[in-house]
Amino acid sequence: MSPRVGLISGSTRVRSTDLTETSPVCTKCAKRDSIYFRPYSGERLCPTCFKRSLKERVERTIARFEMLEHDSRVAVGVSGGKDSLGLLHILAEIERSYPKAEIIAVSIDEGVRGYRDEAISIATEACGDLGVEHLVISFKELFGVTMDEIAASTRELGACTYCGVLRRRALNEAAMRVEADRLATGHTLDDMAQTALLNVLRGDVNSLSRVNPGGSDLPGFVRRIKPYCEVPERESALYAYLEGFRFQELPCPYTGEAMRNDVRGFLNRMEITRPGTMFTVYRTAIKLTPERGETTMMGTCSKCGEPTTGTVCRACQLIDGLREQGPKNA
Amino acid sequence: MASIRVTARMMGPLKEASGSEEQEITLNQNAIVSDAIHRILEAHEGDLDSALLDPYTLSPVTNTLILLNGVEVGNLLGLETPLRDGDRLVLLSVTHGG
Repeated sequence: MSPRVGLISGSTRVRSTDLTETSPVCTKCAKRDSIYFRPYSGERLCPTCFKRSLKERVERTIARFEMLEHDSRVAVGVSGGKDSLGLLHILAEIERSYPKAEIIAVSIDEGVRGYRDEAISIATEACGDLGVEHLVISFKELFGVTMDEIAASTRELGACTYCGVLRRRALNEAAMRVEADRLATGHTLDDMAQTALLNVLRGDVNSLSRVNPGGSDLPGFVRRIKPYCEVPERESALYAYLEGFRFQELPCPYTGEAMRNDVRGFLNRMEITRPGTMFTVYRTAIKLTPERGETTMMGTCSKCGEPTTGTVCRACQLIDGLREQGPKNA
Repeated sequence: MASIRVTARMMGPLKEASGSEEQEITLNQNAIVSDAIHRILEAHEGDLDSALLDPYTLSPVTNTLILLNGVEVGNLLGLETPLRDGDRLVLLSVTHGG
């Protein structure tokens, strides 16, 4: 038997006197009925004002972190999920005001049968609808191995660790192939706050002080930017729903980095009872980050020639580790 | 007591976990949103509990966007919003897919 549903809900997020059984008028336009209550700001928004506010927030984020030039060629990492597709829609809309700017979608096929096939097909369909060029490259092509093979292999680390490192490398490779000068990813406010808190819990001060949504110019890397970093995932989901675009519905079969899941649950609960918590965590991490312009000294990987701070890059370390751990992995 | 019928549409991983996109629920006339969600959970005999409920608070609002007739329930009376015959609920997982 299922447990009784808990009632920690909107009714505890605001004073009960503020709530009604019908939708109040939109705080911004004062004309249309609101459909969404934004607990961290107190706004009640209609669909039009909600979507406009999200676009304006992305524009402000781009300006604040000096993410783009008027003629930037931006590779947008599109996984087929709601966040990256939402970002692609908004950037495509912003791009229309900048005739010299260009957007190209890039997707990585990690090789997860069933899951990634669906996502790539959704990404391709969205790019077709938006008239955006789309490049897909695969783990198999770049590293000679799929995520399904990695997941089935003898390994010391979680599948998400391999996927994260290799996907990061693959996205950079894809962005270079399309000759982009920026690589935009759909990291949300939730992702940023989770990463910041994870770094605190792991005692990783160096990573905690490297939260830079505007990215850095590092030799061998396309500058990575996160224009969606101040959009809560809940609002990204609502935007996808209101826009009515198709997005991936299957969960990844390998998902489940235990510590991140714990942090996600904790932050989501705090956000319900203490609205604005995620912004506070994210902004605290931003305050700890030095001003842009400081660069890390980079060398090249002795195995693949890609840029790295060590002698062998993390991607090569992981692939070599898999091969060394048994004939099953060769 | 008279009953009402409400349609629930599941999106994201909830659709996959529930095995169907839409389901119709019959409830008492004075039912609220949490009653509908409880009925959905019961109908799936525990299969949806982990996808829909926060393991600590047992609340669905932590990880799910819940809309009633196109309005997010946080803009109404939350899970205590009364339901009427013919209402349409949408349940969309927030924490999935990037």
